[in-house]
Amino acid sequence: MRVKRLTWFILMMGLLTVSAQTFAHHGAQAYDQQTKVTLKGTVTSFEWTNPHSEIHLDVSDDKGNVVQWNFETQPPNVLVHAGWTKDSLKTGDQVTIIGNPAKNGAPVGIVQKVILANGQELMPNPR
Amino acid sequence: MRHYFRVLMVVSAAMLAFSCVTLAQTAPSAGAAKSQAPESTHDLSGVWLGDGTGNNRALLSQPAATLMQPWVKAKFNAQGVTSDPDLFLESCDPLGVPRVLLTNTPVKIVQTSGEVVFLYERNHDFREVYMDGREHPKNLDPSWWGHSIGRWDGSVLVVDTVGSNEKTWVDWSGLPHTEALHTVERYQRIDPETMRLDLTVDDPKAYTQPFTVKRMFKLKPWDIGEDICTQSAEQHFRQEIAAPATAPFRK
Repeated sequence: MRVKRLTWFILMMGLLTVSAQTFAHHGAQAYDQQTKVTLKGTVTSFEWTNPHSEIHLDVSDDKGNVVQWNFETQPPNVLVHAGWTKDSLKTGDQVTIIGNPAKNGAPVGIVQKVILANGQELMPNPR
Repeated sequence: MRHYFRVLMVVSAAMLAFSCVTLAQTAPSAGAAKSQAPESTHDLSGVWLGDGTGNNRALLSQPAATLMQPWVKAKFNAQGVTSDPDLFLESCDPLGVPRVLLTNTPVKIVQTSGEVVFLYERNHDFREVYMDGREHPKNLDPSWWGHSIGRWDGSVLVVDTVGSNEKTWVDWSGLPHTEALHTVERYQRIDPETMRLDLTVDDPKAYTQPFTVKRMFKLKPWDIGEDICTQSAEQHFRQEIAAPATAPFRK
């Protein structure tokens, strides 16, 4: 019985590893391109990094529960040409993110647009 | 006296007319000489961004679709590239030629007396194209970037590349190739802000005939950024984004 559980555990870990590896950092396939979510929340961190920059956002639901959303967007070399800087978002900023959510329903997404508290809009690609 | 004055007038008029003709003849030839000067037509230096989106997945895969040899077709289809080209192309391996020519990130061209150097923002990779008249070495050891030699054909820079190893892909859709891959790039600056690339891919062991595509580039007032694929960054991204976005999720 113990061996059987161990086998299942190894199998599941293997599957998880493969799915993460095959995601690819250009992995738009993981997101539901037909669905858009609009989330207002507080930036907990903005990672200006390769292969993709990341925005982590605390979002409160109707019941007051806080859910942390993790968004990916373009790397710095692309964002700079779209008008971003490494200081465009700071921890504690109130922002709205419009993006495509992961198909699996996890609080993960890819950015389509960020709206800052002052109304400024940041797009992930140069226009 | 009157006679001498008349002669002087005629001679002066003739000299003036002659000088005008001379001026008229030298003006266009000076212009023609300028247009043939190497510095004006052989200058591709600068930062260039190619057109298209999504790393131009369809640009080469469309013409190649009907030219694949059976084993290439089988390999291409087995990879499932038509449904999800990202699945197998993910790695920090060098892109090689011609895949690097299709990226949606810029390239900086630097010209020296003996070389043209391509500095790619993607992965901070570079290519040296030897312009000193040398040939490709015999018994070339296949490598990620192969061996590139170049020459000017009028105002067109012709870059000839062989010796690519089989670990690279032809493009971002996952077209396979063999070590017989032979790539010819023809670059031409068609106006101060625009460069045209005609790209010919030939691999007689993989495709029934060569295929050629065109891509346009625009000059950008940019510097080359640091878009480096590192293992540590890749690992971090997989942990933060890729794994949670793809693993089974229960609310």
